[in-house]
Amino acid sequence: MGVFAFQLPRGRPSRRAGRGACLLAALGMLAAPASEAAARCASEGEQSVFEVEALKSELMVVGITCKQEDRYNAFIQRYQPKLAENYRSFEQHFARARGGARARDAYVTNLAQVRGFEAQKLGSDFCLRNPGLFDEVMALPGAEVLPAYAAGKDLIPESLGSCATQAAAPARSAAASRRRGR
Amino acid sequence: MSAPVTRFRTLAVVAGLAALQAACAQPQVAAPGPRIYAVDVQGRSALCDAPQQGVTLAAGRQTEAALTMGNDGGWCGIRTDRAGPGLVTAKPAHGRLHVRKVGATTRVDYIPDRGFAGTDTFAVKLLPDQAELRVTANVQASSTQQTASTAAVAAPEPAPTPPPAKRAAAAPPARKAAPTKR
Repeated sequence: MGVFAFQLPRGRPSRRAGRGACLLAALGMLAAPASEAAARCASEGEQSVFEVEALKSELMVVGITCKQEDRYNAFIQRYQPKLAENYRSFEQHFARARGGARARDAYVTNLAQVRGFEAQKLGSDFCLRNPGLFDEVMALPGAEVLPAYAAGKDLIPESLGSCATQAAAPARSAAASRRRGR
Repeated sequence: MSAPVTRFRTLAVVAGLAALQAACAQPQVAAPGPRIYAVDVQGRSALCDAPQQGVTLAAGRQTEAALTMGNDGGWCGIRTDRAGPGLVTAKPAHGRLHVRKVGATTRVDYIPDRGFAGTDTFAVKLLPDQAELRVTANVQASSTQQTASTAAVAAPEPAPTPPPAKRAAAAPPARKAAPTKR
């Protein structure tokens, strides 16, 4: 429970919430301007922070969607110190450059939503293919190589970017604009 | 006297033909091995000139490779002879990497930033034996910004099913159906 509390401050998401997240992600993706290039951070270290967060988010989606929460928990437990350190850097980035916790939470939510949407796109292949990530990540020799592993996964959606300031909450704004349109 | 011989020959020919037909009618079973998912072969750049047979890496050593690709939003990948996860040891300055297992082996995909044309370099170390792949990517500007379609899929051997054959196959039932109505 503590493991999930570390991951998800708002509590463990239910399966229904996951489906809702996927729907929101779909709306977000539809509304995301295709011309926006994925803005990378100027600092390689800061870019790595985002890549590790994206990996964590992807593994969470795989764990929940494919009913492999145990494997997700094992990942969290194994890399907890590194993940905690990474999350602190992530928080610091948002506190310094993006307006704080609200923007950070929006980013984390959007990241999970987009990953959830990607899962929907893969359909039944998702739970056959993507749990392989758990095999890979648990086969790494240590936490020190986690950023190098995450850098090769291309998990930061182009619509969100990493250090771009405009990547605050496209999914929410998309949903809101649709509601306004009705 | 000649009648039994002729009958025997006829029977032999019929049996031979039946055996031949049975052999030809055997269902073509896909080669055993890890599954290749559609998501891993879709989206290849229309121009992707990479080593056709993949790259043979050496444990604990560096292997150089090169690729030439068009910047149309797609990826261009180099297949390796390794199956383990990859660690990015040198990030590309003008693109992203996606190191993924495709079938039985790991493939290193490079996706250039939108609008980039020129030379980029990156390196990936593959586990568990630390074989390093260093790649020089030559990216050519694409006249069309269309994303590579499924037509540019790098599937090993797609089964050709030309439309005329389908039409020919569909025709007989229609002809058969007509007399039964009469």
